[in-house]
Amino acid sequence: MNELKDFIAENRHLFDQEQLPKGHEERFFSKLPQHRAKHLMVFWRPYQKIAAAAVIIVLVGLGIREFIITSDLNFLSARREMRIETKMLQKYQDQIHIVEEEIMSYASSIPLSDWEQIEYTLIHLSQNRDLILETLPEEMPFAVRRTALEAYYNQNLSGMQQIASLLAQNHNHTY
Amino acid sequence: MKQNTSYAQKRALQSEEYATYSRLLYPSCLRILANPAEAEEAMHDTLLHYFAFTGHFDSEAQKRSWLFKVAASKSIDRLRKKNREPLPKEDSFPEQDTIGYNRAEREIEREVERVKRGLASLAPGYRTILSLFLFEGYDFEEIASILSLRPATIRSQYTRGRIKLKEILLSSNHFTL
Repeated sequence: MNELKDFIAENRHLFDQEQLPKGHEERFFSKLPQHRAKHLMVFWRPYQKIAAAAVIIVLVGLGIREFIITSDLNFLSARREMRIETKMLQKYQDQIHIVEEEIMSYASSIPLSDWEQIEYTLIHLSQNRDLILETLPEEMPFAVRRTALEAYYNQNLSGMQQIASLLAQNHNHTY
Repeated sequence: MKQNTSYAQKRALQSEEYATYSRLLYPSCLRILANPAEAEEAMHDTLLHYFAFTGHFDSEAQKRSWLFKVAASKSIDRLRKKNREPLPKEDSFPEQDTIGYNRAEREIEREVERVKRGLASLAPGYRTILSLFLFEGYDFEEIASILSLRPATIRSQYTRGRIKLKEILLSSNHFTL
């Protein structure tokens, strides 16, 4: 047996020269989890443009309206405005939280690489949520600000709901 | 764009690693399974396991050792699950390009093929133990651990497998063992 062991050691490279079956690499990569989250990103990009356009239209439209009703808006105190805005944000966050919970419930059924993409989208939404408050100019009349925020929140919520819906469809399709 | 770039980079790295490790692992799986399709599946299972693995390797040697151990384990699992398919006849081995080879080299290649065939014609149990011992460098204790058997059983199976292989190789006047 030593002779055989020595022979194997001396010619190990010949023993390891096995030609892999044709198409082995394609078959392997078809087994790897696919990059399905790409569809979410494709969906998210046009949606962002629609949301931005909607905000601009609302801002322009309400800007004209604001010019006419400026005197009425002066009656609202800054404190009341803040309370309304906080309430609106709270309501929006509660709704977002429900959708986020729904999205999270699909986490275990989604490949890790895809889940990273979804998490990124969620983080992106969350950051934009805070960013919009800082982006709107301070001198903007409250009525305009409120309508713009409502439009923005509703668009974001709608986007999140569509993500949840896509995941639900994928989940039902898989199981 | 960030996601797509990151994904493309990840896939390129996976492709590079696949090219390196598939060539190393496939012969090892083939020696145990003696079936190209099954060996490919075991090699794929090993690399899928590797790409999903979130741990860390201190060195390339450690990584390779882990990969070979997983490949052996995946091959043995397949061997246990499925019946062995008939071995290909000697005629079906690919023709070697003999241009540039001298006689001695061709003779060594023939010897290598005979040893491969001898091993492939052994019963799966003997083949697994001999492959792990002769090619992968495991000792009896380690093989016993991999196969969940007692070391004494491995030693006895190894001895019987060696005798079988000796008969096969002596029948073609090769190796005195």
